[in-house]
Amino acid sequence: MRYLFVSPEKVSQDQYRHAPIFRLAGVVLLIGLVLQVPLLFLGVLSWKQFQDRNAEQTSLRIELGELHKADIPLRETRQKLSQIRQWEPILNNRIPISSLLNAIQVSIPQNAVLDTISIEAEQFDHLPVLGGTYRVPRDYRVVLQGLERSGQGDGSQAFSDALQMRNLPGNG
Amino acid sequence: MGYSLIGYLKNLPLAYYLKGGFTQMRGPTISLFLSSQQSAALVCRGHRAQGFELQIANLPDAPPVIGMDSGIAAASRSFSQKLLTRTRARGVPRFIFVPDLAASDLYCNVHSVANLRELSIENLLESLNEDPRQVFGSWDESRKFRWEVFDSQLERVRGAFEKRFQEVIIVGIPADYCEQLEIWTEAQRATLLGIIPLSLACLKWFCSSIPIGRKTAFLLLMCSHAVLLAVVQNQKIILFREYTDDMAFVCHEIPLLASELRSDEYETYVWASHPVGEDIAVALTGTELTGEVLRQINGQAVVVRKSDGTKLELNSPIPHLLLWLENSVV
Repeated sequence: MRYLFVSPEKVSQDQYRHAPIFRLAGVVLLIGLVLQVPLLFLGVLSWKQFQDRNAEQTSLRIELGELHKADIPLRETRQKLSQIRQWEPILNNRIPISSLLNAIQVSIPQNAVLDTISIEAEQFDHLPVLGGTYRVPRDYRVVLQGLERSGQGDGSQAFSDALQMRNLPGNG
Repeated sequence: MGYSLIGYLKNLPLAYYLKGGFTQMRGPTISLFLSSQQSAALVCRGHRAQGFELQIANLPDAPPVIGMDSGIAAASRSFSQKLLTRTRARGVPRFIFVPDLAASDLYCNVHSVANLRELSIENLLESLNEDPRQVFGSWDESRKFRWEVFDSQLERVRGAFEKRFQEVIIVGIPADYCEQLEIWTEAQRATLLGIIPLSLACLKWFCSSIPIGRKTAFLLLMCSHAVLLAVVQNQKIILFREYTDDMAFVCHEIPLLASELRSDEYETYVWASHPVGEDIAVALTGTELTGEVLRQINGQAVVVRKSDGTKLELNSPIPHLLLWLENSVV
């Protein structure tokens, strides 16, 4: 006689409300729903962090693009600068011939006459430069030959002292 | 009734659960006898009567009674709250309605399975819901009815007829009245356990409670609008008739029916929802199911406690029927 002439909708509603099995299912469902709250919270937080990171990445990407744009005109300069830097050891090891010749000329004592002067380069280093390599001499040999009037002192010693006082490059 | 997880999730009573439905225990049962002339409510808890109220149909916010205009009366407390307070009961009530329906509002008849075209109860119910004329032939009622099919012992049956039953009892009541009761129950925030027409409840009680042995029993049900006659053999209902004529005619019919059924030994029982008048009582032959007879049949009187704490024994047919119904339904 139970549920006689009661519509199936009402019967199922009553069962869903009061039957132990459906109550149990309801408890499980509600506990499940409650457990979703922290997960949902974490999800929202993660989403927010993801959004922040995305925004940061986008701004960094924009900044990088701007830097790239600014770098384009400097690239040629940098290239030229690097080419110039390649010449640095070459220029450092050069010998100032004119100042050497001037120092020799000035240092020759009165009682001596310079006959020949020869300058030879030795022990070459091969330094790479644009378009090939450059041979840079590590040592120079300067040979002087001259005539000294006799009886007027030690001319070669005076010449050596005067030359050293000139402070030529490489004299240290 | 098929239940499924999807159906449960679709109709999840989340609001009910969140309002504390999980912790709510089964509340008291309120069995309501509803007739245009008389109405009563029996409040029970744990199969024991707690309170009995008469003429509840006149209270504000009372349940709808068929054939009576339900006046809308504003009430601060709901009908069920008032009733529970009076009987010192608490909880979410569960209602059993026992309406006393007029002849036009109740279809109840015994049908031979051999005369039915349908092969199963489901088909029969489908045909009845579609158009009762497919089953009865003559049916001039325009209202929609809700139908139930019982076996001869008034047990609800399902499945194919095959050779399980020779006869079935088809009962129908107006669907709009059932809906009214459902809506009213919903408004009371209560549970509906059943709408059991008075005649059906009486017949079921009779078949379950009174052993008639090999004799044939003629049960006269004197309702508000009509007199119903049921013939019971071997605890099975074999005939059901409704009379709007006077009692003398009905009493005259019983011996004729007995001879038609070739029943030499038969007993007549009379169950009346209201006290039988002297003029009718003179014409009646048989056992009237009231008072001491009912107390002996049911083993004890219906005992309720009055507001002053004194116990009150009730032996009239309605409280006995409502208590039996509560015990068999809950």
